[in-house]
Amino acid sequence: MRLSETVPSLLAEARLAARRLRRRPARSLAIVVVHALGIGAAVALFGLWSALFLRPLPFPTPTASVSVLVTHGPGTGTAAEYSASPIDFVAWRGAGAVVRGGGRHHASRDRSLGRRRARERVGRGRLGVAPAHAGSRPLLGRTFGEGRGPPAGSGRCSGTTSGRAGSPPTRRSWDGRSAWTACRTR
Amino acid sequence: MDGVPHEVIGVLRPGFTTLFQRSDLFVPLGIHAGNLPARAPAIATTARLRPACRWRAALGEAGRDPGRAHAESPDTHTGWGLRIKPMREQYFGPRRAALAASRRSGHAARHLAA
Repeated sequence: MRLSETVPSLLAEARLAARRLRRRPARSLAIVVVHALGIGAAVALFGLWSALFLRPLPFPTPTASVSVLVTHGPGTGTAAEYSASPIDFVAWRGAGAVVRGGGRHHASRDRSLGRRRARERVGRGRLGVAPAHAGSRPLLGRTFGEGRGPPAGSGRCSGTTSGRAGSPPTRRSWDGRSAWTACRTR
Repeated sequence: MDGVPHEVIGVLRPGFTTLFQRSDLFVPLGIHAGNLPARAPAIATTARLRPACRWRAALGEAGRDPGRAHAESPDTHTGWGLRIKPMREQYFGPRRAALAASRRSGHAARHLAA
């Protein structure tokens, strides 16, 4: 079939479709909504699949980048997970347990936020992710998986153990909890 | 920057980004033992394993540490632990079950259609 025949035919089909859609507006609306939902769901699922399996994480060594979390609760699989408190973070970094951290995402320059909302975030003291490769401080001490401890005596954080026994596993309870990962002597 | 003088200490490579955060600049976290914030924000901590170190080995070592801490300070440290996860697992792991369910439903729909 030639192009000169195809285009008029397609236009006629489109006009016919438009007339039929106008004739039953409720059914047409339902069809459009169902299609929109299906397309949206497919796009969202593909985005997830892509992030999960196709795209590498935006780091030079994505497989070596790990998240370090604090847990509370019985059992290793069911314990609740939390981000680190500042005292934990400082202790990990000071003892060299955490490889690198120390960048703060500056929300007021975040293009995904409005300026006013960004200022509110900064005002609340909300900290962003400490990027693995943006920090300027060198590593200290050991790294997880090395099986070696820090130099003798360097792992003690005296004066920081002020945790509360039986405190509920909420973020509020972290305020005085000690940074146990560094508070030990090998 | 926002009325506070800052010194530029380095330039990141073009296109640098962290997950879900597109930003023009980063400032140091600025937290150390001498100036811990009065309020306690949660800090999402990222670590980089040394070459040839697998995360499961790191997880095993991290899992041993709490036992020692619990023994030393049972009053304050019992129940608290440490966990290490690959970043992909941390950010996308919770959605894996939903994806698996959608995949299974797709298979079932194709089976019924056939």
